[in-house]
Amino acid sequence: MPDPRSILHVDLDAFYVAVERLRDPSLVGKPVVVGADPRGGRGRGVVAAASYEARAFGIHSAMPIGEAYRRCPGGVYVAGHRDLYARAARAVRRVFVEFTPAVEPVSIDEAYLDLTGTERLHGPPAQTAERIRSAILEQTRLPVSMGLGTTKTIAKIASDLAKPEGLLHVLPGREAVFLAPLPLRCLPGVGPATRERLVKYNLKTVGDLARLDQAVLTGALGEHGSHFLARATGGGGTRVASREHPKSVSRECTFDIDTTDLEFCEAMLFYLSERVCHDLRAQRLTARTVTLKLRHHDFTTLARSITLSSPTDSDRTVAKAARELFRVACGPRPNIRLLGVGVSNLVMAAPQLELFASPRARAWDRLMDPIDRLRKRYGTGVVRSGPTLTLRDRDPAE
Amino acid sequence: MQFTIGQAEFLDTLSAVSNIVPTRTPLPIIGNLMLVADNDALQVSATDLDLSVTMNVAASVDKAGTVTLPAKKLTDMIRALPASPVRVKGKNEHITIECESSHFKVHGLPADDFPSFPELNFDAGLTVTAGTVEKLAAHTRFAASTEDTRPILNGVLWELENEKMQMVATNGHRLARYILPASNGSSGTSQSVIVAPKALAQVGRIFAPDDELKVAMDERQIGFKGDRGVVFSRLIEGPYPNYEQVIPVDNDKLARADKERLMAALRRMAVMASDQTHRVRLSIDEDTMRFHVSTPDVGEASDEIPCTYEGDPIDIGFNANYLLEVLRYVDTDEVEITFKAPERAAILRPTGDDQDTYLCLVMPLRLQE
Repeated sequence: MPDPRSILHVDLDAFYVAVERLRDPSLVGKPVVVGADPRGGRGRGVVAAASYEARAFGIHSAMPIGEAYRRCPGGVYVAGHRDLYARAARAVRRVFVEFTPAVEPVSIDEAYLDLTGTERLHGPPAQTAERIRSAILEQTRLPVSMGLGTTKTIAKIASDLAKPEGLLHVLPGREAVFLAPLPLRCLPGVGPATRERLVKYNLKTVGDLARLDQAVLTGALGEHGSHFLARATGGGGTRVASREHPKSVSRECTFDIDTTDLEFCEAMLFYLSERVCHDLRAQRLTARTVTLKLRHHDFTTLARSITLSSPTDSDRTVAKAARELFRVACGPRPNIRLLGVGVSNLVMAAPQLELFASPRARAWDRLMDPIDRLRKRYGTGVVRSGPTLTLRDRDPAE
Repeated sequence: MQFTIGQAEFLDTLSAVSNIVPTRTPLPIIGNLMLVADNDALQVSATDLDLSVTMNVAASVDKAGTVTLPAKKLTDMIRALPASPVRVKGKNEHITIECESSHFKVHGLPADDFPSFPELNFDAGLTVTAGTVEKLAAHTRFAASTEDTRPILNGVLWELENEKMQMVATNGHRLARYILPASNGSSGTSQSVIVAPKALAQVGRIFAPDDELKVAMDERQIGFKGDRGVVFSRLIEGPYPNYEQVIPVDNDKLARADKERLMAALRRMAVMASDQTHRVRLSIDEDTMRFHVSTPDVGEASDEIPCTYEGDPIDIGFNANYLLEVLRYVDTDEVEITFKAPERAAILRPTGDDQDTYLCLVMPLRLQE
């Protein structure tokens, strides 16, 4: 048996709310809901995040904003500042990589860190975890919850139980004992439907599940049964993938109101292409295939792709391809609900320079690096390209 | 018709012609070769509609006639026969082929359905040896593009001027140009055409280097005619990119290295290079050319060779395959490479007297930190 691994799951507590409270300290202690404008209970969007105070009213993320408003009309509703969140998340990630190169971000506010083998450098993993917490607190003033265990599942369950601002360390060999009394819903992947099926078998805790014969569990849950059994007995993945190689990069935008304005659509395609290419460049990738996604007002959705002669990370090249696809695909009287631009067929960026590149294209190339850096620091809106200026009044939501 | 021909000569002719026959075609007649027997000669023709070829071979003709037969079947059949005289006879589409004890019956298609070949005025054409065309083409056609996105780059630009002729090919990332003094009888006016590489390859296949060819062209076709046969090809239309404009004139760093050592080092680096970019880093200073490859998930490699170098040290990235391809056609033991900057085209040339005949450009790959 190889030595057990030390995997840390770090979860930023009520991340969006915490960032909003740093921006506006008057929000501290109040029920705060980040999300769409509730418009007195008639808003269209959903809750992006809710503070612990708001959660006490039964509000949770992804709940329709109108419903949240009905539950807590006295709450503070905040529109959200994506650029701020992204910046905070980056600062947190910078702390992570000071401690281990193996960091697998799960979402903007969650990551797995593999601390195995860092003992000689940083000391025992539990101590390292606390040092990570202090470093995050010091550099971002954001609170985190952490779980430390031998698998990703254990670490994740532990950090959920450690909320808010705790650290729960499950010692190697104690996984089954730790899991046994926990209710089934603590096990990642066990949603309401699975739980309902298991309750029929009179299974209530993870321990109940662990004691079952695999054949019985497979009978109850189908082929996923063995998967759950492994997790319930303390097994599960340990591989912390520091950087998954993406297969594609895409951005899309659903409009508040369906649009027939083709000029607006093309401006939006340019904007989406810019975002996609910015992501590509940030990951040092280039793409050969450009895909346009188009959804009409009646929800008929189509995707059209074109493969370029050479891989690109140029906004203008991707936007041009997307625009050409759009002009063919949009049909005679379009009424469009959603537009998306995606790229795939990704290769590592070492772009082959073009012999016949126009001086103009070369000039654009040289310009992109400073623009990317400005946008990284101050947000996308700090530099706007001509074709997207018409979008200013209808600020695109992603 | 009825004729007799040696198996080896027949097979050589069929092989040289039938390679242009497409493997799949909506028009069955295109899959056939046309055989015309007359005046103690056999003419074998094939076409893929863009490229048409006729090759002449001596045969003992007892009865003149014309027939078309399936190219692959016929070639396979003759290849399988012993090295003895082959007798072909028949009427209309029913043909018998005999050789020693072997006996075949094959069905052809009506010769009238075979596409007619272009008509060009060869009397007005220029004269050139097949070897000249082949030399120009061999040094350049490898650089043409094989992608469908810019058809113009799939061709080789052939420029004919009073004193010289040159061929140029590029895929937009690398470029090759070969210049030769024009042979006698050049037509006097300067012309330029864009020829498909496979047409040039076919000229090399049909004719011997010393064969004198008449080359004729109009807006849409080019033809090469010699005693052994004729090759017609549809020209690629459109303006060729202004390649002269992209040939650097201010490359101020000059390296000279042994070609074989350079190629050997590049081949070693290519093993570890990314399958997609084939990127290798060259670092050159005073008297050493260093190579380095680092590919995530694959590994690293480095090597170095001696060189002479004038200029500030440079770090530059290239597709190893582009360099290797170009070097293969540099005919001297030593190669000269000039640079300006890591994002500007490098020029590769032979050294010595041939310096001005051959020039290759290779655009770098961007190096990232």
